[in-house]
Amino acid sequence: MDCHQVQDDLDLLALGTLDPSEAERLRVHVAACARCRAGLDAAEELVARLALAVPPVQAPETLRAAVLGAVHRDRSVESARPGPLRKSVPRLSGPGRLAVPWGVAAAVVIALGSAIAWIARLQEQVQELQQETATMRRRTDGLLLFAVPSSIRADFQPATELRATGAVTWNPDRGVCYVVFERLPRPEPGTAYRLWYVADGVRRVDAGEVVPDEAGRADLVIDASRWRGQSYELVLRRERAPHDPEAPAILIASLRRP
Amino acid sequence: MRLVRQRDERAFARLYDRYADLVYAVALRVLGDPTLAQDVAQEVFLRLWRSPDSYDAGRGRFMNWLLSVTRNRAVDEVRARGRRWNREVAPAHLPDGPPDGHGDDPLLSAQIEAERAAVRRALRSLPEEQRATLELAYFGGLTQQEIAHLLQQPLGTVKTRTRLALKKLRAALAGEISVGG
Repeated sequence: MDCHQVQDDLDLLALGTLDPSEAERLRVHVAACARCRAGLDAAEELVARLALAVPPVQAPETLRAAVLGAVHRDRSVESARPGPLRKSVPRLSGPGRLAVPWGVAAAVVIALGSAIAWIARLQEQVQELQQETATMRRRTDGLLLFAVPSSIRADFQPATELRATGAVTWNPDRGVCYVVFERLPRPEPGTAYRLWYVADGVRRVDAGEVVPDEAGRADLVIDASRWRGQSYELVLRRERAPHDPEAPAILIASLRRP
Repeated sequence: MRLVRQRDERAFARLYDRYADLVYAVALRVLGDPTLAQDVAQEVFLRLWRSPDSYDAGRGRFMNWLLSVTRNRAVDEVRARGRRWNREVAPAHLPDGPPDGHGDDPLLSAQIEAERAAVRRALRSLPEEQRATLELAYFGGLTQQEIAHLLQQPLGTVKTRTRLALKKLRAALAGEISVGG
């Protein structure tokens, strides 16, 4: 493959529109050819400008809260991390050793204390990551469920002036129901959100507490393996007393078996 | 970006305010779903915060890099979900609508708006079939083969249209304002 052939296709390569095998062949050449590499950089700059053709849209406020909230959490964790231990621990050999034994001991104790605090912080981080992973997995499963043709989907309708929205995807074959809420404000102190479902207008079942994250998003997986009814009504309520089925409804969705 | 590399939270917030609308708009254009677009935009910004060195100033302008990362990440998402997601997305209308916000930098904001108008003008000047091919490739994430199949056109025709479209776009944008990062 010579430069002439490659130059012809650099724009298409930058556009990411070539088949993977074709793109790979070109990239092998570009990696070894300064001229074609410069050509590809220029093509990529041009192609990137296509993104500017998008219609103007305002990013949602919840995105800002989610991004900057995560950044702030990262910074808090970084600030809590102690500096390298060697900075806190004086040398244990040499002329100063006998002169400051208590100073050394105190420094070691402080360093150990910091290390223990750091380990505790790391454990917290691991727990947070595990929770995040579980959430991501749940959301991925929920979204995949949405893609399954036999799934039934319904949007939640607001029962109050709240701006919150929600959607439910039920797959009767798999016996699972995935519920997601957006823009759900933090519950006022002393209150909690709880989702209930009513089968065929008769039996009322508590599906669990709904806890929104900082971005106002919350999701829930309901075991629907024993759902035999024809229709289900899902109601999100704001409770003052736990498990109060008469608490005011916020969002309501209806599902009907096809 | 220098301050962001130094873990300056406020600098990052300013950077977010400048580019969030654009990043979100690109993700939304590709994915056609506000929730997914928000997820992708969030991922792009957090990746930038956590790995600021992933941007190499020697390889091009910051904004172009950020928008490319967003578009590529969104296209990956489309591919992972199957093509039906982006087929349902209507073609861009390329309106000269009211500008979205770009944070606290009016000069940058004006430059970005000027460049956006130039790109829209350039795209509008393309023959319809060339513009459609380009949009299917860029915003739809389709390969030339897939576009040929979709439009029921020979592969060679599709490639020629795409090459021509980019060539004209290059000529139209040469000498236009381009925004620095």
